[in-house]
Amino acid sequence: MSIRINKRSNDKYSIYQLEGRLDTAGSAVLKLELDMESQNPSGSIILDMSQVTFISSAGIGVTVKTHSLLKQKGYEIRVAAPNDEVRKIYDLLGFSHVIRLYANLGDALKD
Amino acid sequence: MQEIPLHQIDNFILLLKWAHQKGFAVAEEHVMQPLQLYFGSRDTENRADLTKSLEVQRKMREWRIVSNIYKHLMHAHCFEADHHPLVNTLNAFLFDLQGEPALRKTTFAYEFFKAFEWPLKNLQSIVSQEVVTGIERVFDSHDDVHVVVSHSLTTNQQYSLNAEARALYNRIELAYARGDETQLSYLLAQFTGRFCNFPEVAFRSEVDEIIEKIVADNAAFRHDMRSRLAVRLFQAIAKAVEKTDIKTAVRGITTYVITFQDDLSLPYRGELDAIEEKMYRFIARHNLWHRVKLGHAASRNSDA
Repeated sequence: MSIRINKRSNDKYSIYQLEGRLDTAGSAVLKLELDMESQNPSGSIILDMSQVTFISSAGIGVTVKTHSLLKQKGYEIRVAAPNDEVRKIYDLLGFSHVIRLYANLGDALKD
Repeated sequence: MQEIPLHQIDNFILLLKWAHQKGFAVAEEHVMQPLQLYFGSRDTENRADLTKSLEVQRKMREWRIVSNIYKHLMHAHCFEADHHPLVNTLNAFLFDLQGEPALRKTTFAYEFFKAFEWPLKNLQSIVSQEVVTGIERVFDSHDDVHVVVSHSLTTNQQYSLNAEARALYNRIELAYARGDETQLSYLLAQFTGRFCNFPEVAFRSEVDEIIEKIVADNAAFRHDMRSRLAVRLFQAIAKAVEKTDIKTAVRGITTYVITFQDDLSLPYRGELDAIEEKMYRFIARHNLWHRVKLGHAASRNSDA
């Protein structure tokens, strides 16, 4: 298994703690979770990526797609605590202007 | 009979080309033996006149007969000691399959792809491994960072690129007007693959409009065209990486994300992962993040 996902929610956010790799295999697992959530969202989604070691275009595609679905309903996806490489990959491909990246989970919750 | 999807035919052509270039041993194992198994025993009839008949029947568009002639030709060639005649016949068959929906629905076309189902998967994994290993070698041998990181087209280059785009767009419009979906999916994939690294090229938005119109009411076409496009984009990215043209590769990956978003079922998805991982490591090792970064076009497109 390339990714492990733990979910918890409060009244404003669903927080997904991810651990592992967001390559095609890992992103397929995340997509299943996010597809269910984005059909009937109760708030924005925060992806805690502090334990994500690698993200490929597959992972970025899944987050971008969910983000655009959530935006239609007035919510969004936030990425919290990505490591330096994950943050730089979002930036490199031009998607840090689409999805907001936060240095830590606290900042993502505060904003 | 179920129609063979076009992207499967495209992929077969790619793999066949690779096997052919590798020589007899590879072609024998992956191309000739599956057909030998399918036919069972050597064809002892004289088939010298079949090639002429094939031409006649192709002109008459008798696709069921054409398919039978191909079957007999392959039967004769797959037991020969030279793989060239078989590869030539296979190429002709696959190109005809690309252009003719009626041929794609014949019993032999179906059986042919069934016979190659597993051999092609094996060949695919060998080719993928070779591509990834080749790219690893490219990155390992570039310690002094002679990488291409910028593309400034001269006015002449821009002009000839736009002329090329216009010619391709004219063919797309014609195929669209005729309702020729086979040709259309091929040309649209070709346009997007060819110009994915040049966002400023003319007719891009017109092509996007045509794609949107078609996919809105034809899900099968959408899937087939996306798969063909995914293969072309993957090839463009892999080729750019092989040349250490990182900026082009990054642009190709961005196009891939914008076009396919969360569709993880496309061909070469796993291979793209492997290439990306090696490329990002290379960028990090040489701290190229800012030099190969794109503008903000991605954010504008994906928000739209």
